[in-house]
Parts: sequence; C-alpha cells; structure tokens
Amino acid sequence: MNQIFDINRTMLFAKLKFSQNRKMLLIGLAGYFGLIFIITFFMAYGLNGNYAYVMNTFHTVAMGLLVGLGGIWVAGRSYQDMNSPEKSMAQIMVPASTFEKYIVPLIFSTVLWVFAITAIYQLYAFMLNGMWSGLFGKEFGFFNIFDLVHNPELFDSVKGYLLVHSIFFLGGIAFKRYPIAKTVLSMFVINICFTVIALVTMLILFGGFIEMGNMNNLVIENRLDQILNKDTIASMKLISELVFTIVIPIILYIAAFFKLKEREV
Amino acid sequence: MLTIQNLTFGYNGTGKLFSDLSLNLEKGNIYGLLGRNGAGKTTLLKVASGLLYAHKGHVSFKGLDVSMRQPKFLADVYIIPEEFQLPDFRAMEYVSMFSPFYPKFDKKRMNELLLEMEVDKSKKLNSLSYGQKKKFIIAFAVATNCSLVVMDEPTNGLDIPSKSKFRRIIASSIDENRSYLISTHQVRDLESLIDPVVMIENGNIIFNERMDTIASRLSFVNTTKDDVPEGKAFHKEPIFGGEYMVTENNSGIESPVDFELLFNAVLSNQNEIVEHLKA
Repeated sequence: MNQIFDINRTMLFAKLKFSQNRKMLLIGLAGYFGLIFIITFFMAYGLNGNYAYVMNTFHTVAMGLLVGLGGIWVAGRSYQDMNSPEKSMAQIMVPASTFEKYIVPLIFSTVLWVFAITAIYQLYAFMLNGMWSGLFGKEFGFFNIFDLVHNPELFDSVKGYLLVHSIFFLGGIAFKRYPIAKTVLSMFVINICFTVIALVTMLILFGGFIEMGNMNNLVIENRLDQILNKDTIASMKLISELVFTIVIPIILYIAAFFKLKEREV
Repeated sequence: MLTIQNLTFGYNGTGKLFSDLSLNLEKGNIYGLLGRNGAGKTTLLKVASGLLYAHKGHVSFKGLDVSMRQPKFLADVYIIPEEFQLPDFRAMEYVSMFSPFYPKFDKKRMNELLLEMEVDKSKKLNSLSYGQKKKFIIAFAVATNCSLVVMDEPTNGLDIPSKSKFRRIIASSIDENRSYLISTHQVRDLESLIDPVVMIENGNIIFNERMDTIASRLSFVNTTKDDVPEGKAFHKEPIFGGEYMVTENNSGIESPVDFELLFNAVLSNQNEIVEHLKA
C-alpha cells in the first residue's frame, strides 16, 4: 500500500472527517438557508415590479456569499479538530498520511464545497421561487446558475477565491484557536505593513503624496519615467496578477502542507 | 521493535529534557515506564509515537522512522494518552469509522471487550464518564491488534473491578508479536503485569531490567515480618516497628518485587543496584 496516497484510505479519512464535522456544517447551512427563507419570504411578499430580476439577483448574491464566505469559513475551520493537544493527538494518530490529511480538507473546501453548495443552492432557489410564486401569485422565474457560468468575471472570481481560500486554509492550520479571527487580524497587520512600504516607496519616488499620480513629478533623476513606460507598466500588472493569483496561493498551500506536517502535540 | 537512539529533546524555554537517551523495546513484553513527576515519561511516549519530533537522535519502529508518520506505522501503533477526547459518536459508530484504518482489527474481540468492561454502547462517547471513556479506548486499543500499544496512566479513572479486568485483558492479549509500553504512577495496579521495568530520571533511562532478574537478584524485605537476609542492603525505608529493605538476594529463592520500594531504591542507589543486577 502506498504510504503517501491511497484512494481507499483517503476516502476513509474523508468519511471520518466529514462525520466529525457534520454537525457544525449542518447547523451552519441550516442557519443560512433559514435566513434566506425568511428574507425571500418578505421579498416575495413586498416586491412590486420586476419580481424575477430582483429575486434572482438576490439569489446570485446569496449564493455568492455562501460559496465564497462559506468556503472561507470551511477552510478556516478545516483543522479545528486539532485545536487542542488531545484532539491533535487523535488526528495525528489516524493511520493516514500527512498528504491525505492535507488533501481531504483542501479538496472539500475548494472543489467539493463550490460544486456541492452551488447545486444545493440551485435546488433551494428553485424550490423557494416555486413556493413563493404559488403562495403570492407572482412570477419569480427560474434562478439558473448556468447564466453565471458565462459571466466573464467568473474566472477572476475563482482566482480571487483561491487567493483568499489559501490564506484562510493556512490560517486554519497555523492557528489552533480562533483561526478565522486570527487570520483576519494577520491579514490586517500584513496589509498595514504593505501600505507603509507602498507609502514609503511613493515618498521616495514622488517626494510627497500630493502629486504622486503624475509621472512627471518623479524626483529621482534616474530616468524612471523612461523605464516605466506603458509596456513595462502592463508587464508589471501582468506579473503582479500572476503573483497574487497563482504564485502566492501555491506558496500558501505548500506552506500549509508543511505546517500540518510539523504539527506536534 | 521500537528503537530510540541518542534522543535529545526539550520543550522551548525549559532546556533539555532528554539528552542522548537510548531505549530498545522488544516484541512480546509489557514494559512499565516509571519515573518521578516531570521526569519526561509522557514526553517519551509522545516522541516514541511520533507525536513530538526528536531534536537529535533517531526513533524508529520496525525500521520505519516514526517522525515520518507513515500510515503503515500509524496502523501498527496505538497510543492512549492520559487526557484524551472522543468524538460525538456512539461506540459502534466509532468502531465503524476507525477500525478500517487498522488491518488487524478484531470486531468480535471489540464486542467482547466492551461487554467485559461494561461500556454502555448506546450512549454517545463524549457523554460517557471519564472511566467509561477510558475503558472504551482501552478496549479499542486491544482490539486493533497493533504491534505496540502505548498507554499513559491507563488505570487512572478506572474503578477497582475495572482495574483487575484491565490487568486480565492486557495479560490475555499479549503475545510474541505485540508489546505494551505503559507509563504509570499507580505501580500497585500493574505489579503483576509489567515486565520489564524501565525507569527514567534526569532525562535518561536509569534502569531497564526484567522481572525475573530483579526477583532473583534482589530481596524485598519487611523486617517486621521477614528474616533479614545476609548480604548487602541497598536501600532502607523506616516503617512502623521496622524497616522495608532492598537487599542482595543470595538465597536463590525469588522474592516478590515491591515496585514502590524498588523505585525508591533505584533513585537512591542506582549505580550499586544496576551493577549488582548486571554482575
């Protein structure tokens, strides 16, 4: 039997992990769906005019929040069953490889979560729209998730989701207690640091913050205005996009694996 | 089976707990690990199970590096910590979830053990009392048929009948392919069970002897009841009306080993006792 990855062992571990977190997951989902039920009821009752558009826009936002924020919540809580020495011991000693213990929550909070929740929400929205149509005699139409698939911004949303997911996934492993709150706090601190660095850089390049948008005001006489031509700026934009949407998530996912591997009790 | 070579380990900020510690555990034994509070018994069990990483040295189990935490190793070693948490499962749900990870798991034996230990199978495990939880996890550990079962203070929380059942279960489950490593302060609970005895002090193994060697080379004497044998006394403890003594056993008759007395004797006169046993 392969000591790094075995599909049967991975499925067993996934089943175990799901069973251990089932209650929290179901409570969270039930709460959210309950809230959607109440909101859509009042919307359906009070809406006038373009019912279908408003209702289905609401569904798009509600589903986006559930997939995005819910996924981040699940990612941040991926290793909450290791948040005390006793629980940690139990998890480490489960006869599965570190890779399997890493890949199961990763796949669950990315691919599985997105697809399963999208499918569930699609059905739920279908049921709600039908129910409110029947109850209030208004036509709410059909909320179709596949309309969003053709949205050109979807790919950017996926990249953004993976960046934020990778941050919270790492936070979920790195912080034993309150991983989501601590990850948000860490992001805040890191953002402040980046802002300070950016401000200092601007100060050096532009000599102040008032005219910093104007390239002609560069105070450094090293022909930066020529270096930073249109093409260079476009390349820098592309590079920074690649760094933030591909390089950083990959680094964070790898860091998460090693953080899990080095976990002790 | 389990080999610890030149282990160095310490927690952050507290200095070295183990320095160059070596220990070898063979198959077919019930090792009793004794030591004072803070001597590092629990830490040693954790390092041996791969729950903590050695700073220096090497820990291996059947040739596998325990720090790699490979499934093959994890499926053949079971640890029962002193403090543990069980999930929100009923007994048989727990068994169905965890037993597939252990290829040698014996479900029939598990049911027998739960019956013998009188564990309530209908309740959620996390709602059981500490003693019930402990009995459940001991039953599970035995049923896994792992080659090495590590237990930290297993009799803590067990009632008196359960302690004797525990001794019976462990004694009946030992065979030439499996070993137990039991750390305990409750030596009287395990007196008839453990063999060999391993003692840890100041980050090192100071004593590692088989019971037959101890019983044949040392005498445990209560001067109020027994005749004082000829030969050197290694350790004495005053008791009402006399003394408890550990002496050389020159009679050739094995004497029952008093673990508490042995432990105190080794702590007070380690070198002479070890030299005498090795001689």
